[in-house]
Amino acid sequence: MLLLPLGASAVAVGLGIVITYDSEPFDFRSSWWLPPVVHAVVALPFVIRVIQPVQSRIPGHLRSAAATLGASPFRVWATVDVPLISGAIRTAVGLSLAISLGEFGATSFLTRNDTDTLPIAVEQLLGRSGDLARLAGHGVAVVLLMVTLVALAFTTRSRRSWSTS
Amino acid sequence: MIGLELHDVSVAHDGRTLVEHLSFGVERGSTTALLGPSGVGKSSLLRVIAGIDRPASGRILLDGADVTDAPVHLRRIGLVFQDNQLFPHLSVADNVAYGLRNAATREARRSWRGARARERVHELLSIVGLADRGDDPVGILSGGEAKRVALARGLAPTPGALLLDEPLTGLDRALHDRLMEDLASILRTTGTTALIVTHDESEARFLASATVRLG
Repeated sequence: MLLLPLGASAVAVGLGIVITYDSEPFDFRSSWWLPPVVHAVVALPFVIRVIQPVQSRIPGHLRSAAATLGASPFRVWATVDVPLISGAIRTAVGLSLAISLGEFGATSFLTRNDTDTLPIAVEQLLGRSGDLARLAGHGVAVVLLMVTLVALAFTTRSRRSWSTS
Repeated sequence: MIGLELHDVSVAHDGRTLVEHLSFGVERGSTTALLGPSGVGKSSLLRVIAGIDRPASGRILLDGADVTDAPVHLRRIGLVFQDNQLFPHLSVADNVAYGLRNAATREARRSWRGARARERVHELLSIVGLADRGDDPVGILSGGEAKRVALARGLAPTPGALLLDEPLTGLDRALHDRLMEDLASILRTTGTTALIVTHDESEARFLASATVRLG
């Protein structure tokens, strides 16, 4: 169920949210927090796909060993599971950031003038007439590209540190 | 005085009864060997005593207190796994210190804070002959060294009883004999109530003052 957004178009997700939350008392379409929440929904399947296989590789005996040494279930999770999946968590964070930065389909239904995202701003600037607007659009696109590259570099670095650990 | 007692304990796994109505006791500070061929349920019994699995029936007592229904982390029964199960993200010293830093009660964690924990880790690593290896990652240890670290880790929080699941299996003969002597000496030095699973008669005779046969 949590992997469902992976198979659905982001445009369909955005349209579905616009239709679902279009009447009081659940009219959230103009809420500033809706785009980040939708980005989280779009990124969630990728996060699960990155973290779940790593977590499933942790031997159950390792948790049992921790428990026989006195660690409570929460401490077992905090001191065994979390450190062993920390590389995957970093990768998932970087991937989610890159997905969120570049997300256009769902966001195009949800943003207002005061809550633009970078891809929406690029689309709007390039759609306007005039050299200045086009230049600004290209500038914003370069900024988007660089920020996304930094996010992806973070992901690659996390993967490397995980594979050597 | 009996340290660890089993009363009428039965163990089942996947619907199959492995151990039926077993009763025995381990004298406090002594070592008992659990002998039997492979597949007879020795390791499953250890998991039940440690609290990882539940018995089909029967009671388990530690120092006179019934721990049958106590959660695994509150039992004070340590378990040294056959394949050690050292924490791969921690150093040798941090593995040994794990049971001190993550003790079940706040009082126990507080009592092992700072220098006292460091002293305890150093003491245990000295006993198992690895005093200068504390900073090493566990991934570079040899089979014998890893077993020693697992033993030190199990002993560190001073458990009421320590269970050892075939601690000498998979070692070459020379290392096996050396580690067997060391193990007997360590258990004697620390006065640990121990239950050792083995299928080797000579090993059982060397390490334990009493034996229990399964199968």
